[in-house]
Amino acid sequence: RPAVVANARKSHPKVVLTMGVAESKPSEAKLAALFDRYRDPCEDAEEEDAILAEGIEQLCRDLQVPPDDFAVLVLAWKLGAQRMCRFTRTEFVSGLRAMRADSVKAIQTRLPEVICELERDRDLFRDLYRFTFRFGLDSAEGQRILPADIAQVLWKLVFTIREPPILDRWLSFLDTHQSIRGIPKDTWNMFLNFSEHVGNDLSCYDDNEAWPSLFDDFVEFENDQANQNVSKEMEKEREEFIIAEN
Amino acid sequence: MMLKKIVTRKVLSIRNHQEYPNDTQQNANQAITLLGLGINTILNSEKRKTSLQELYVIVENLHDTHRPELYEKLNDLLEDTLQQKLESLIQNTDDLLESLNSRWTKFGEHVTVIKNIFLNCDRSTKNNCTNYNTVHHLSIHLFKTIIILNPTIKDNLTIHLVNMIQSRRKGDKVDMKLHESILDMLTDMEVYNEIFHNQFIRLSNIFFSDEGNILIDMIDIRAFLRHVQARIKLEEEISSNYSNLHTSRAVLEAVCKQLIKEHMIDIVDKTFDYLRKGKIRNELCILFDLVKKVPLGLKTLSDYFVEYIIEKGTSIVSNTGNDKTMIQEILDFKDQLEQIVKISFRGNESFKAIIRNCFIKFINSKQNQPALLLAKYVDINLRSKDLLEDDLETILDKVMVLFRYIQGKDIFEAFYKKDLAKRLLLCKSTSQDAEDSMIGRLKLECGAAFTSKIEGMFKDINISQGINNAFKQYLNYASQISSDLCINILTSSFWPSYPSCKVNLPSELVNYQITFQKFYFMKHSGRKLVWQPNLGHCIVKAVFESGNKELHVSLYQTIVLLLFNDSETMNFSEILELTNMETEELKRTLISLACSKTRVLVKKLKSRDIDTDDVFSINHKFSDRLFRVKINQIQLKETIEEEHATEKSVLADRQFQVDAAIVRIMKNKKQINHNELILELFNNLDIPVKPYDIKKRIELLIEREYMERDKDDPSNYTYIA
Repeated sequence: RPAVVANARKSHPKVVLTMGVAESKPSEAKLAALFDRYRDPCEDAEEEDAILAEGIEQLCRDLQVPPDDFAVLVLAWKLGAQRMCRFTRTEFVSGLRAMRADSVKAIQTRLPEVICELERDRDLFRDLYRFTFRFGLDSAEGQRILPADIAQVLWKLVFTIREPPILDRWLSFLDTHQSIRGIPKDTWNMFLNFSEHVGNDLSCYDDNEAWPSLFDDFVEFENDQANQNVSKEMEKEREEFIIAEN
Repeated sequence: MMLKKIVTRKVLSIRNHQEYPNDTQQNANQAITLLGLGINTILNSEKRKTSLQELYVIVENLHDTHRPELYEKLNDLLEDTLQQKLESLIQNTDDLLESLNSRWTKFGEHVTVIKNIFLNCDRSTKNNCTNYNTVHHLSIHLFKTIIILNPTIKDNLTIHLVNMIQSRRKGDKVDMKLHESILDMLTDMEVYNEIFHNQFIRLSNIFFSDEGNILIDMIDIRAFLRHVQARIKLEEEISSNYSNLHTSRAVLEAVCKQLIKEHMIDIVDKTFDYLRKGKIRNELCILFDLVKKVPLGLKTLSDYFVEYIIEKGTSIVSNTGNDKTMIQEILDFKDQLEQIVKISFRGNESFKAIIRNCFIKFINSKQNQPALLLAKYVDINLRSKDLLEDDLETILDKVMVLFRYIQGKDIFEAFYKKDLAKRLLLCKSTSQDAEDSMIGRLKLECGAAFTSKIEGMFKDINISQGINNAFKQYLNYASQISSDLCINILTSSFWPSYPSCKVNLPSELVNYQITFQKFYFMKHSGRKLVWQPNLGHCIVKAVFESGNKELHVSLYQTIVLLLFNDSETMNFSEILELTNMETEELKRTLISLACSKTRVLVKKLKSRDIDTDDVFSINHKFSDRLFRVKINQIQLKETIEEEHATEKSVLADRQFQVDAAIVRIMKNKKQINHNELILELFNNLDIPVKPYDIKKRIELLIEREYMERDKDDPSNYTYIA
């Protein structure tokens, strides 16, 4: 069937699109069938009724997006997924129902629309942003703090849209400071406020305000770097000057 | 009703008994001519033909009818004679002041005589206010207009007067009396400001300004200060002659402005350079007195004073190589500064406050080191056997002043307790009184809660003595074995925590332990005894070829030594197995026994370190001139790790305190702004914490869900019950 969809798309892309935005109520039967198609085959009685890693990979292939794409994160958010690599039946069915999508095609159509909304709506994006932290935790392990390497990946991912100007410097700061092991929830949440507050100009940052201490470290580091660059430049200039004099 | 006393006034009029003939105008003219001649002789100091009495009578007779003519005549005569004087004065202006003064004096004398002649005239015109209607006024007016205000005289007068003072300033002797009387004359004539004051002040300013500009670069600052001091003294002396406060004030102002204010920064800067080099003492006093005289002078001085203290203080506390001497250096520095303020700065209160504030600032600029070293400093002094009681008291007083400055009082306490424990357990303390006196001070400063644990430590030692005595009696009674065993029972919460370690004690000691435990639990059931072998020490009797010795050693050393009762040689691993000590601990112990100065053991391979396959045996050749030999206990020296550990535990304690304080505040307020919370914490905590550290604690508490950020305003926190 995926092949059929793909063919259909190729031959009648417009038709498929119009079908996708159909306003009709999603069919419960279709939703159930869709879930069952990707559901993990494991028949263990105690095991959960859920789509797991393999199913999700298949779903991504059908949606024609890589599994680490921003769209997948948005989908997980729309479905209210509690964990990475797992959609429970309830999450999947009620999430898609709310999205008014009961087919792969419909999902394919709805996701770009949702992303458009996210681009526009700050509060909506904040909701996604905060979701991303919880989503990234390994809840099976009872994790409460996001490991720094995962946090970096997620930051890059979630800021596929609305990327703040400070992001690159922030990520390279985390890269060069391996002693920062984990990002607590508060720091994660406040980073959005922080990036909106400073823009690209760290001079308006005041460490007397209620910012988490990691931002203090970051700004101090950046300022040190800036000072070093200034003095390096001055040194260079002076050298050039000496050369010129000679 | 009032009685009115009626007074009748009788007027008795006395008529002139003698009527002078009052004939004609002619007679009057004659009389005036006569008067004129008489006055002229007075003015020219010539011999008189007419007596003063006669002249007086003439005026008396004529003053009613011919007053204008009389004055006119006098006016003409005075004018003439003053004109003559003027000419002779102008001819020779070199000694103008002297000649002017003598003329003025003479003139005054003459006028006095004339005044007497004109007495009636002056009297009757008192109320009749025409110009210069008395002899006095007339004469002064004429002298002023004709002589003094003559341009030549006037200019020369100014020059002479100012020059006199200038030569006085240069150290020449001048006739200040003359100067003074001329100035008095000018004051009488109301031309003092015009002729003297204004020019004098202007020229003085120039003089001092030149002097200052030249000297400040030419001579050493100490000499400069002395010079300015002398200059001011001289000016004060000179100006006491002016008798005009207005002028002396202005001239002193000029000195201060030109010599001090204009060079303020230079003066203070250079003086402090000398202070840094320690080459100044008395001049500081002069400096203080001088800068006090100009506005903002003390401000500049105190700015430099602050900078000096902070700079030197910070260099003392940040010098890492001076741990042993730091506290002494700080105390010496403080003594030095206090001397300066007391003697040179006249005990000025605000300078005393500067010392205090600066010390607080620089001592706390280095986190914990000063607190730690201060505790050690007390320890060294309380151990010292050479100090007299009074000296020790003085030292402790000084220590307490620094203690007051130090914010990390918890660090001090931790290290103080650690050292105290050693003093008590190893009987190193020299005087119980001194210990009490120190505790008394701490109690006074920080309250009873601060010292309760320390006092508990003393109590433990005292109680232990009683227990030991009782135990001895018990041993005698119960088992007839005598013992020199001494046991200290320490309440664990009072004392610093020690790592617990298990070692195999020699069987003799184990027996004692068991017996003691039985004895102790008889009295105090329900308590738990934990043995701390690392704090014990023993006297071990040993037989060497050179004779019997008593070795004063630690319990660990004892355990190792006693092993050699059973075998002559032993290797490291055997010892390790038999003693069950930690490897590092055993190494240290063996170093002290086989590699230090007093070698009671010998090692096969001679080297400073201990290797795990080393073999040891008794050093039978051991000798020492003393009977009782103390073998230094390496493990009892405080290692750097130990220091760090103590510091770390204090810092961890602080975190708990901060956490507790945050939760307390949050519980109380339910919701609070970040900055208010920080402020509250600073007010509530008496330990040094930085806002950054507080932030970290807040983050942790958010993570543990004691509190959360407000959803709408991220700078507000909410308490989670």
